[in-house]
Amino acid sequence: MFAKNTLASAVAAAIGVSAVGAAQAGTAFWPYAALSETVTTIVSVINTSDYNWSSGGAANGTGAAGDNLHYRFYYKSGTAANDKLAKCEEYDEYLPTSYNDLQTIDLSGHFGAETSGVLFNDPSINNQWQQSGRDYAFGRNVLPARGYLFVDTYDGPTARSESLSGEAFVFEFGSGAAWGYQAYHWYTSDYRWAASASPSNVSIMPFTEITTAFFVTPVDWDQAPDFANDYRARVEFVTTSRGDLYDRDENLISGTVPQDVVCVARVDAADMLSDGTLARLEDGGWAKLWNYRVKNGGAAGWVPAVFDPQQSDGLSAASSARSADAGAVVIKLEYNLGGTINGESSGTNGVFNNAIMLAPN
Amino acid sequence: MDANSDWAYSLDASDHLWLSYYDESRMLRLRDPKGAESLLVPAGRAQSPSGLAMAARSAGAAVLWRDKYPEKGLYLFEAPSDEIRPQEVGGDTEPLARFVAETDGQGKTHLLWYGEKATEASSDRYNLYYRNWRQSDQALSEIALVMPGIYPVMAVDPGGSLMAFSWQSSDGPQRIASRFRPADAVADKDDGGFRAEVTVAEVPSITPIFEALRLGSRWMVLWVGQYGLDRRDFRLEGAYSDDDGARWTRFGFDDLKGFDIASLQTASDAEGHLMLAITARNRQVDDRAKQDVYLIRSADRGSTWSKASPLRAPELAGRSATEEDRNLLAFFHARNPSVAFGETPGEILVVWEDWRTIRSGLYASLSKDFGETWALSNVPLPRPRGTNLGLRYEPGAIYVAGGSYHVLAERYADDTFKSKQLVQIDVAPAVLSDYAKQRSESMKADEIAGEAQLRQRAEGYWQAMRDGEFEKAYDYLDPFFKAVTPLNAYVANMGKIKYAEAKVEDIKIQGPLAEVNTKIRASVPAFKVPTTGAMMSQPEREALVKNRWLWLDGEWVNEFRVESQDAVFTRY
Repeated sequence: MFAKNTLASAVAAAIGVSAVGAAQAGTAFWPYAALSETVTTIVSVINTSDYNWSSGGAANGTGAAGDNLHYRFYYKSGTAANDKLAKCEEYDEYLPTSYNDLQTIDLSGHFGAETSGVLFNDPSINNQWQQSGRDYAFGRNVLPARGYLFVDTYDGPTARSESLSGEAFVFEFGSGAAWGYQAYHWYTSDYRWAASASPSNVSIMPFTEITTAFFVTPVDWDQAPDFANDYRARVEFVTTSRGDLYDRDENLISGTVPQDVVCVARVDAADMLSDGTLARLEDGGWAKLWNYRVKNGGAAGWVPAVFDPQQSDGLSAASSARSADAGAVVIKLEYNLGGTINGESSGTNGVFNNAIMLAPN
Repeated sequence: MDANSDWAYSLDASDHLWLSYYDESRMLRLRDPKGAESLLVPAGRAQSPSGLAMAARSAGAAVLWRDKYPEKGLYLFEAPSDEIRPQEVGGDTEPLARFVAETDGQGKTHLLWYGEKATEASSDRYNLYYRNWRQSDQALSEIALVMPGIYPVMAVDPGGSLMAFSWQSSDGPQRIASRFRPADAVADKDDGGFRAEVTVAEVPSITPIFEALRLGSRWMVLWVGQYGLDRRDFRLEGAYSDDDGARWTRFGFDDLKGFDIASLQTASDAEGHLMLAITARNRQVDDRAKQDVYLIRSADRGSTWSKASPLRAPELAGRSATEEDRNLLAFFHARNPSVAFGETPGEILVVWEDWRTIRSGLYASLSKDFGETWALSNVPLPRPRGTNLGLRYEPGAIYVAGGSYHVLAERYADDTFKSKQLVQIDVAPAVLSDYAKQRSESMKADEIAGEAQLRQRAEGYWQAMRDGEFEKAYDYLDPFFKAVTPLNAYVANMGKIKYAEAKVEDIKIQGPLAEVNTKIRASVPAFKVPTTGAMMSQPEREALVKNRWLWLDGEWVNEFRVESQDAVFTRY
């Protein structure tokens, strides 16, 4: 099922700008967005290109006819928002921009409800965004939702200027808890390089006091597929040999459980452990967190994969998980709802949180 | 004690209880049968004790722990003693905090631990080491490197022979391996007196549930294997040997395939009856399923087994259980069952932690036919209103002394579950029968109030929200949220939303759980975003709010949910 403005996407695909255009264009990738009645993701998009798309997605170049960015929001909503294996749908929109433009958008539409989700702009000047009559709050009608945002622009006939960039600010306006990250930017839609290092060493705070979760977004040759995203990746703790991690006393403990994610999902660290392991790891510990794409191996199930341009799906089976390519952006989130850290008051009136985007290699 | 603190116990030959535990300052203490306590590592000096094991002694107990001070080692202390002078037994093996100790019928205490010393004798950094201690002549055997591995698992025969087990994850296929050590082994040989290693079973991955048993002349080992690329094909498995580990017969519990096991406690008698009490849940399809408790029985030392029988049954006053009653239990965790044989043949007691009343309490069942049927079933053990009683995955909570059952339980200090106190509950069969009678009499008084009272409570809550009287609204919230969120912190976070109308639409009650749908009209008056200073607001609009209410401590309370994290403070 397609969201609003699939026509634009279909037209763009038909005339080849979606894939070909993105192959030589400024792009930016916000790997995670959360939207609900009490949470929103506010993204800032910085455009330093004077060569943008037309409102229909044509490479019109500089000037008024080419003053649009191509926004593509991939999301899973409703009950699917918590389904790690649900596919994402795509919301596709060309929206006004200009050279050195900054657009700050509430993707949920909670804020900026009367300005199409656009925040902080003075409507008396440079209000082309408002005149377009289009909505920047791509998730307004699909709450609750998780997703990621991809934006591209034409960027000139031969340019490699990586002219788009941005930031995200995930904000729980009930408690004021917030975290953020810098968007990745590039000149094509190939974001394999943005995958978090696999493995990445991660520390885990005590499970009995602080919740640790990972936001996982698989990456691919084309981070902006048309209509839907079904890229699948796996995360797991393997610290020495076979599904293990260390507690805070240097004891090695086995019994970890891999988790697969399609498109984007939250994975609780506790769910990556067997129950026997979790019971013995109350104080947390540290682990090597692996992430890699998987492909359907038929009877073998979903098997570890490496990126392979010779295959139609861009993947071929790897000989083992260790030899698979890194395949997902992973953000580690830590939060406590009880207002304590180390059993002592955190002075946060109940909630604090923190997020770390695990860097690529 | 800190809620996560370890504790252990052993009984001496007179069935006296010796207890060791880590206190709130992580100091290791020993409590003798008269209740006198001593610090095992003197206060006032650098110390970092961790791990804990105890072994019975004829007139006392042996305590084993790892400390990094005064030097990294494994320390053994025998009580009673005039002075606290533990001896270091780990040598240069760089011991880690996982070890076992067991005393045989000859008074020899066998020690097995794992260390991280790199050695040319092993391809693995982690290896199991063994030595024994003979109290009679104060003799400590040489340290023997047994085999690679991270889980020291051992069973000891009263005659002094032992079987050590390890899960080996390097060098060849991942496997469970065993090494037998006869009672008359010569300890100072290179092999420490152990026979050659034997592969028990190839197992690609295991969880920490890994136990060894001695059943007459049979050795047995039990583990939870993980199979498949996603390692979700959990299997409780085992093997036994009747020829001191030369050959092993492997078995599994097919009805539990896919069930993740959180705890395993065993009990056996001299006639070959063997009981496995487990915490299990099916994770093949859902990581969110609640834990449940089961009993598996054998009458022939594990040659054949019963199916896993759920231990829980609904508590009902004067009517038979319906399917709905049984399904309701799946909403609540139950875990860490412990099982023990009584002194009367055929009698067993099972006790577990159960959250069916939203709080954790202990439930017990008593059988007189080895668990085939239950003479007393699902009897709640006494617990003061408003408190929480729990069990740990180990050690086994039940011990039998003086012809009676005793349960060592953890009572949490408050609803934050941050600290606990150990308590002993005596559960003689006659006492349990009294508890059962008291329970049937009190069930009428404890009957869950119906929709009218819940509606009144829900309307009271929403009226307080409409009036902006958040102190009143706080009173309606569940105590687990209130325990970690003081009133002033709650009130400071409220007020951003202005409620104009609230109408309780419909209510659905299932046992102590209720879903309440309320139609509200609300707006967000302009407020300043803390990070940017920008003013934000929301116009008034209608919304349907779904709340879960809980029947708890004799009233309906609103379960506080942090919607953004889909998180609650309750733990059932």
